[in-house]
Amino acid sequence: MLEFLRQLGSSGMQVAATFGRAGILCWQALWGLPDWRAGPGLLVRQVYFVGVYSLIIIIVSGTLIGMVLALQGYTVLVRFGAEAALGQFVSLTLLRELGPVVAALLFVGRAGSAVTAEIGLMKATDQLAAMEMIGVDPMKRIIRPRLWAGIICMPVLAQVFNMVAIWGAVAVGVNWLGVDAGSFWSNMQQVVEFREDVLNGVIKAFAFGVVITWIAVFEGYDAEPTSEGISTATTRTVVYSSLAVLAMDFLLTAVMFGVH
Amino acid sequence: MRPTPADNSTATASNWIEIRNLSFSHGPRLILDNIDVDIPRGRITSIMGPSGCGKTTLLRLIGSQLRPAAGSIHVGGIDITRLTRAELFVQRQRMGMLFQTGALFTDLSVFENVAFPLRVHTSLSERMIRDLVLMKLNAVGLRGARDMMPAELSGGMTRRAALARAIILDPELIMYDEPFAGQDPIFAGVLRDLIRRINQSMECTCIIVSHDINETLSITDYMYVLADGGVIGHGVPDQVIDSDNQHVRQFLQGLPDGPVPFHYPAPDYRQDLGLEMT
Repeated sequence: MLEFLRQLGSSGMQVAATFGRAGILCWQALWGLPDWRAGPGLLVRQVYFVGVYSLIIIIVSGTLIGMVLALQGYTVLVRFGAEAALGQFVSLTLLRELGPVVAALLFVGRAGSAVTAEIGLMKATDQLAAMEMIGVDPMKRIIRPRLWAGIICMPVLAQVFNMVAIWGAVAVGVNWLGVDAGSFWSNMQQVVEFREDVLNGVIKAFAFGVVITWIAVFEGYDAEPTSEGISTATTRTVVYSSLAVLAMDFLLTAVMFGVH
Repeated sequence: MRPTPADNSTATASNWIEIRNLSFSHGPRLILDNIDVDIPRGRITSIMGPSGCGKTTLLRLIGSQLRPAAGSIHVGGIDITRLTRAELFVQRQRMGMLFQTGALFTDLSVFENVAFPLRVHTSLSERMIRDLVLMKLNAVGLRGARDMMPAELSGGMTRRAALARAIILDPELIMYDEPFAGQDPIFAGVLRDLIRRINQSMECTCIIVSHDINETLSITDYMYVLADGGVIGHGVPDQVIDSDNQHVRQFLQGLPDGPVPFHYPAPDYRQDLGLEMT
């Protein structure tokens, strides 16, 4: 019993220490905007790596999910003769939930894991230590641009996801299954509200972007400098970020769209 | 006559680094236990000792990449253990370090790796940066490899490119972490000559951490031998080689058994094999 309590206390201390280190890293990295004197290239480059490289998987997945949504929605709605509501069904599902959440999960797999592996490998090969010895703070040069890039890119990627998913839904619902295009679009325009649906979706994506990138850079920076350590850190990034996204989605949905 | 470090109780202008009562632990393991080390200004000092004795740890403590549990480290008259993070990054511009792996930035070419400190810390024109980088690359014999990426370099070339990067800001202190490890005799000789030439031409203080006895002693002015968390011998190489200390002799002569036992502590061998029942 005493041993169990000791182990429980030890684990608790380790978790608290990890959160402390993550908090310090976030504070040091976010304290100030990216160093423009070092050239806007640092941030632009990371936006390119984190955001542009994620576009393909976001576009392909968005299109397919939009197509599936339209197909599933149609098969249910047509039973009640309500297939004209397909536009509002698809748009609300995407803007409020699926867009930010699925885009975030894809972002974790594509960009989060890459950021963790890159920083972990830089640590294992002494590149971060070399940077420190040159008199350059890796927090500013390595961590900060990646953190900001993730925060900037995630909301944009979520909106790209929504856009292509709606196109996918149109392709299946309107062009293939024959739902009236006028009804599809007018229902969508009538129901979707900018603040309630679009803006809340953007806020969700922004929050996911902060958490995912924070976890990714911390796990990379805190990784054991061995191949096994980097592998573990990358796995942790994917698992912790995915769980954090799903948990935060529930909390944010409760706050934004909960029963009043 | 070669300079010798001052008595441990006093600090003099002849020492560029003065370490007093330094202790460092990694978890429960005490790696350095209350050691005093003086590094003479403008000379090559080597820190030697068996693997795991804390040589590289000491180097990282001098660079303040690690924080000591106790003690002080004065570098150029400044106690670097008391500096803030921002002050530390300014102080490090006076230091250069050659890592065992080279630690070149893998996304930059050789030229850009060497130019990196200049781009970050100076506002020199592109033309000036180009000239300075080419001069340093020429000094290490890699001017022709300026456009190559780190992945295309051999181990020796990587270390020479990293050396060019370490000296690009003309630092007052250069630290070499195992510079000869894994090098063939030609590259080891090249590096040895480069270290000596850099020390003489730049008049900088050099610290070599190594357990390659022959290569290191051939260019060393002063040496320390570490073991069991402490300094077991120091002096000019001839003094240390003639030392009566069994630990020092075992290390310098490469004897497999002695004060540093061949066997890691283990239970009785016969008992372990099940030959004797308890």
